[in-house]
Amino acid sequence: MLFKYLSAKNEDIPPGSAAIFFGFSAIFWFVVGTGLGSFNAAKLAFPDFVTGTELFAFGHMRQVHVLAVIVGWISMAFAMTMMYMTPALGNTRMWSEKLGLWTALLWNVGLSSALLSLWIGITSGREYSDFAWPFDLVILLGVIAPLCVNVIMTIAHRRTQGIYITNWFFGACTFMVGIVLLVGNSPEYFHLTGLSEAYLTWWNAHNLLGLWITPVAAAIAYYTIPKLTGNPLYSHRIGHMHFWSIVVFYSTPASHHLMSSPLPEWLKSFASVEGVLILIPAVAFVANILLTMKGKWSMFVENIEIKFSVTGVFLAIPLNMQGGFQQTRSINWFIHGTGWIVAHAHLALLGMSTFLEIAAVYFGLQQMLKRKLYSLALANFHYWFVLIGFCTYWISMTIAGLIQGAGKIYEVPYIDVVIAEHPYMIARWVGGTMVFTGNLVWLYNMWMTARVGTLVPDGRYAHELAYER
Amino acid sequence: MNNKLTLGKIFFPAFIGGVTTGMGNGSVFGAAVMCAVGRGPYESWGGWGAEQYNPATFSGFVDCMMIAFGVAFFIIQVMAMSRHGKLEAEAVAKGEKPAYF
Repeated sequence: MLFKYLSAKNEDIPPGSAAIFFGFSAIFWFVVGTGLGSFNAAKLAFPDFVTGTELFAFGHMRQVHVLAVIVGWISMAFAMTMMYMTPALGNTRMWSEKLGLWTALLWNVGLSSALLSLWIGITSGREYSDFAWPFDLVILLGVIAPLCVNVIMTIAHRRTQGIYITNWFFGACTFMVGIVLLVGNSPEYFHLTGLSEAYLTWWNAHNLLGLWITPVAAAIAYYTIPKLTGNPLYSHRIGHMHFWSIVVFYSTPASHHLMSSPLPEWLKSFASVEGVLILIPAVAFVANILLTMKGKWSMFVENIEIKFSVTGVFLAIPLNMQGGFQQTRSINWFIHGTGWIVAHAHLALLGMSTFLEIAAVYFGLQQMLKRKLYSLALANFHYWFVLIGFCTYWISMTIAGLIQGAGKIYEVPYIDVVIAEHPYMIARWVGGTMVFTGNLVWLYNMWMTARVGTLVPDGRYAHELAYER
Repeated sequence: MNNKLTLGKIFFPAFIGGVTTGMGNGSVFGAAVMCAVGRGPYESWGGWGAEQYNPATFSGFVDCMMIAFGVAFFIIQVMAMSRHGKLEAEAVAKGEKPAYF
């Protein structure tokens, strides 16, 4: 249906088409990504599961899962939200709906090819930028650059006086992530190795989180919570403080990922202090959103989008408390290289960020399709499966990480640590599989919404209407 | 209404921003430039304007990059905040409440 608009004139393309394309693509990649995660977790829980085939070895599959989730689910959900929030906040249309559709198409094709190449073993071997450099260029020039142009031009053509904080983040983050990918991947383009490569690799990984995943997720909450509750944002000034402190304090501490490396000690100490200062934007964000909820807490129970959004904001609290302190030398000494870090990474990606994005995709798809959600019961099923599944995963991996850390420090034989971890690996698989199951239900629910959801009259919001099922 | 964001008020926030992004990102961009122009061992990577790169201290070329980044970001912030203050003052003077405050 959407493909016919690829060759249409921009004016003839209905607003929201690109958002719908991105929205369903994001959910599809979320199902794929979490399915791969469940498969990989099964291999850790049950070592005899699918053996004898090199392609299905853990070393081939792990990074396919990671990048399917980051570049597929999370980044496409961001693109989806940008395609409907940016024009809505500027009281205008998307600068080019056609460019948005082409970006979505190229994104899906490019990502499929990149993941396939990764799966068969073509990789740079650099964590979080595992794709071979031609695919890095495709992502930078074919995906991020057109998205950035579209978002910034839409903001430039706005018909409002100021720029709301969400659009500050959208415009800046699409630009900054381009710089991160360009500079962060430079060792691949110039074939350099060694300490500089390690530093750039972790600056890239750090800022994929710091200048893309967490701030854009926060920007989404700055839109969805006021929009759904009807409350104005508690403070736009605190939002500004959040924005600038992200730029200053979050972009800089890359070397706290390399505390045991031979990087200079002063640089690691600097990064460690900067890492704690990340609490400033974190507290600003959480406080601003929770104060915006004033008088509307009943919606946390009644409204599915608020339920997901506020859960995501709550998860930002442990995320930033962990993130602020786990990179200090003494704690990092204990937990570095253990499952704790895996748990923390999932708290950022599957916890805080994903919950905020799910809410925005639920809200945005209903608005763009002009249809009420097919089933609230299925949406609640989705919420509880993702939340319980995630918590099971997070808690089990945190405990497993502490066991590994103790084993590392006290020089316990490795095989004893593996045996001690086994129950937690099974719990990890159960949690991950629950998330995957919830997402399958979500895909069905949104598909049915597009097909038979109750039509929303012009000028009304889907969440204002009562459910019919 | 006058511009409330005078240099005296914005100097320290801009200075902190300059120091932190200078150290954190200047060192990264310095390393990236070394990737682009450098070949072979660090001792002969061919940088300019400072002593050779020493991986034990990270001093040399990266120092210059950090200072350049820090100064540039400080200037950008001073200019941006001054302009913000000016726009805000003009809006208040015209009786337009600045949006989203």
